[in-house]
Amino acid sequence: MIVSYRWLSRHLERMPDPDTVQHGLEQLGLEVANRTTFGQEFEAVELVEVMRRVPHPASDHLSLVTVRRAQGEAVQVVTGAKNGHPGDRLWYAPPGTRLPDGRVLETRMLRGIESPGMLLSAEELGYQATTGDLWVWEGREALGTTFLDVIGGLDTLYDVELTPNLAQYLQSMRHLAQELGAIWDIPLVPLTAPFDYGDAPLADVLAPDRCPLYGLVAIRLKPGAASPLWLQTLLRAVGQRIIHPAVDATNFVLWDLGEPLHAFDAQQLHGTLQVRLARPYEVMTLLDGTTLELSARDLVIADDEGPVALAGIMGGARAQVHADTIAIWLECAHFSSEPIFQSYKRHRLVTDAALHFGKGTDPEAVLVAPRLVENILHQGGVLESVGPSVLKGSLPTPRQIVFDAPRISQLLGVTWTQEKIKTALTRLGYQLTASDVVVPRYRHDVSHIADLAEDVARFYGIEAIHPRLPVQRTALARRDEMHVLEEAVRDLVVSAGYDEVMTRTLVSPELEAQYLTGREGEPVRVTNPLREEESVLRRVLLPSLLEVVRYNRARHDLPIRIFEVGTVFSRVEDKVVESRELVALLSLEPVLAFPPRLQPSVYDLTGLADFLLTRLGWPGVRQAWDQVPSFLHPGRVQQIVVNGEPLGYVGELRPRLAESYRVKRLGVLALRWPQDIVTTPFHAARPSRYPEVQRDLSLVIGPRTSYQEIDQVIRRHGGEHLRAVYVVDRYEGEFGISLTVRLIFQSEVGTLTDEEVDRAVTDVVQALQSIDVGLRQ
Amino acid sequence: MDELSWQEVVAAISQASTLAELKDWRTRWVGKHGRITELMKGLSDLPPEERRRRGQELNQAREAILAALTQREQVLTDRAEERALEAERWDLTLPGREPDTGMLHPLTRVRRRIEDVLLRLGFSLAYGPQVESEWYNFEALNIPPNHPAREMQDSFFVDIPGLVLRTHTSPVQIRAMEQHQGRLPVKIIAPGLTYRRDDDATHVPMFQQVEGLVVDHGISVADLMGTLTVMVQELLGGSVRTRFRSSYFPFTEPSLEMDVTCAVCQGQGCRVCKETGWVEILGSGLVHPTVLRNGGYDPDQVSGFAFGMGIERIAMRLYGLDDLRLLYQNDLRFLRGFRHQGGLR
Ligand SMILES: [Zn+2]
Repeated sequence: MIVSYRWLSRHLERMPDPDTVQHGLEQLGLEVANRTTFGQEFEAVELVEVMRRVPHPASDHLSLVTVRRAQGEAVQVVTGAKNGHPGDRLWYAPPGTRLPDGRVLETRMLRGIESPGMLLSAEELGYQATTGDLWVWEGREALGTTFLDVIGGLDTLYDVELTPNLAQYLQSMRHLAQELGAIWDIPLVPLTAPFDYGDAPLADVLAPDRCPLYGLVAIRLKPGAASPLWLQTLLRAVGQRIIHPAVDATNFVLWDLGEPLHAFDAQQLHGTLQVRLARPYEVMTLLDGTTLELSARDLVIADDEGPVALAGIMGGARAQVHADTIAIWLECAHFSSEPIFQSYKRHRLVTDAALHFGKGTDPEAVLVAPRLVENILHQGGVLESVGPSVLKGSLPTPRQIVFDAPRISQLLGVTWTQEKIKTALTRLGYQLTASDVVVPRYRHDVSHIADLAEDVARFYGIEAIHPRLPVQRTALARRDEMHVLEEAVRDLVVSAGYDEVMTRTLVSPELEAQYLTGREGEPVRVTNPLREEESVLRRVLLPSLLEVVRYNRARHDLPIRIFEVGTVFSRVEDKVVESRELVALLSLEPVLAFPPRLQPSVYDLTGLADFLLTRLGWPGVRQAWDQVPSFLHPGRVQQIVVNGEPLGYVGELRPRLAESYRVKRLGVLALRWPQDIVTTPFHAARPSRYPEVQRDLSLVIGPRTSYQEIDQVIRRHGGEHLRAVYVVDRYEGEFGISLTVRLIFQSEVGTLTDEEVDRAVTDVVQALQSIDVGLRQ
Repeated sequence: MDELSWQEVVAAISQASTLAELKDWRTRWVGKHGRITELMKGLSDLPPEERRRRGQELNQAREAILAALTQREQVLTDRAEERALEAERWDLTLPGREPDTGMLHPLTRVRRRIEDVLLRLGFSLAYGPQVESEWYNFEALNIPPNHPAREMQDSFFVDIPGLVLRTHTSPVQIRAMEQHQGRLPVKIIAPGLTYRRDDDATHVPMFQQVEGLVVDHGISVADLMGTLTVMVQELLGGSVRTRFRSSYFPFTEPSLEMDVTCAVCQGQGCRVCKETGWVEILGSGLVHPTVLRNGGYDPDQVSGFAFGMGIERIAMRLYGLDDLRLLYQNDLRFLRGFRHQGGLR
């Protein structure tokens, strides 16, 4: 909304400077997005007098008009205008002038004669006048007076943004001035006296809940007049076009009081008007030419032949005011805001009227608006007479809130007196009774004491409140177990050397489909995605991380060592289940480095899985997977199972897929959080005081024998003193695969003898033979 | 003593240049068949007076020679060790092998910093779902179906009627109040992902917020301003200046926006801050009476404040970023840049 400094000043007894006004607007909670001036283009336009007018020697429709200027030589201008005779005073724009329509004037050759600048019509200045082609100025100003002087100089304009609550009552220069006057303690200029409505049978309201107050005034106009200059100037400043005196007057009231009025061409109306709900499928043509099919949810103004306006939103074409309209019916109404809001949303008709009525207007404006219009028309010499009128309905009862000054102070955290709070409220237009605050009828945003507190804060400025820390009963600040765990996983994976990434949860359904394990269930789809590639909530994290690989590999060859802990979604009937998943990716490519590094391998990821399960205390195991999904390497993958629940997998991506992301080989670990987290309890153990004995066994194993089997056999047969088993070497030779395992024996109660250890080792070797594992000779 | 006096032997030992030479001296003089050993054996033939004098003399010589041997041995061993180690010299100007640890995402680190400050102020952590019911996301927060604010926050809807990707973390306000079942105080923060249908240099469709809520007896605008000022100064540094501006959110009344001094111009005014010297950092306000009621609290008995801030905005401020999208591009070169000292915090 554009706010005019000049317009505001009409409503205040005194007017501070434009900077103060800007600060005032900001204190009220309006954001001043931009500040400009209006009228600069009129600075060069000066008043001149016609000395001579002769026909153009080479044209029968052009004339040569010589004008006297206040300073400098007389100028001869070529014009096609019919008027502008010696003695007439005209507006002259010299070369270099930029006109409101953007044209920059220069000296032109017209049929062989030089013409510097231009003599102007009212239209060329963006105004309306009734004196013919050129604007013959009737005022008594001296020659050389600029057009900027006659409109009262430059105006300052503030482009303000209103939050929805302020839009409910501040889309009006009067209300803005009132609030500004309140904070500055400057009185308002009294409003014109209310209009004396008659009781003529002009209108009936059949839907009073939708239209509590409806006024109609018959007015006759004189033809061929224009709106007063000051009004045209104000409307131009706030970006309105000058149309017709009757329309200009209603536009003025719209921005002045925030009250949209409507003028019907009385000669196009048949019978009286009815304010009623539209009939289903009733059709009307709006003044912008579009045809609308109505429903019983729409409120219309209708005459005997049907709707002539979509109430509060837009007039109809049939009774539209034209340039030659000489009799109008002026509508001044108060409509309920909510249905108007819904109606203009439904029909996508965003008009100034709709934006005011749809947010809420001041019912009291209905009482004064016709008087204001009458005065303006009178001033412009347009008013012929005011005819019969009617007012239906009554003002709504104002809202009341119990006046509790201590509560207001408490909500703000101040120790202001009742008197101080009263001052703020009174100046902001509230009335205080013995116990209540009466809310002005235009304050649709105020219904609770918190709203009063806000007004008091705005009145004194927020900086008047001194910040402090709350004084409260102490309570324990808690973390959420689930999220503590999530953070722990992040820290563990980071400590293992992976970088965290953060990807979007909305993914492409096609891409995701390749990476499902078959346990994910149905996806949740977004019905209004920004793009198809982001139209489902992901069920698995892997595709998102693969996209990170793609993005990076398209740009550089850094090793991939990344992870994310993120939300995955699935639907169970009409419920959405959100769970947590970890995915880590590791590029399995040789790392060239000095000093040398360990070469990344799938064992890094199986090790990471064990590391996590151990640190988290989850009783999980890695085991063979019967149905390996096709996106994984079938020979290098294991399932991770916790308490019988399959929670993930670890292994290698199918190399063909990895290559499509520009990685030769890619290891992957995926782990989901269990439904119920059970952790293995941990007790610290005192180390044995007796020495440990170490025995290495070099085993020869078949190609299909897994270490897991060997490990199980050793542990089962190693006796009570076997403390640990681990692999110290693996070697593939002509004889097959050789594995060297180290067994650590130790007793809690004494030093082990060689015989005791030998016996245990013999048992182990014998047992291993049963699974075809022998000692290497 | 024959051709050499023992003093001469000691002098020669201290000049020896190899351990082999020392061994030779030892054998020849103090070994089993060394000259002094042999002489000592011959003492018994001497008369007692002579034997004692001669014995003392020989012992003195033996001690001196042994001491010289030990001393010289030490010198020569040290020298040998020095030479051996010198041969093992490495070029330590080659790069070292840094520990292979990863890095948390900058947004995780910033979120944790925010959580840390607020936990220290006594806030508990609370959470809610990302796919939220329209009731929690809108109606309960005083945003009825036709409220203009529903358009301000263009939402993603899903193929389950009544559900929406939450447009803010504010629904957790209602959930937290419900969980407290009327107990006081309610004092929570709720970090999490939120969604809006926006995608440009300053908006991404998925972003992270931290919501804060305090409900108790006597909570005021002053409490809100004090808490947020402490929080922001703890996050951005004590020298940052703050101000509050009147604003509007459907779920707070009064509503305040908080500005901090522009990091680019330090408050002098520049293009980034539209010459005001201030940039907006978060939205806040007293909890709207309707919202308190929807959470099961009586707005005439208690009051509360709430705030919501974008984690990305704080991260951009802390790390001096001007493009929000960098944070979600996952360019490893960008992320690994955070290994530097500034990234530790
Ligand atoms: Zn700046």
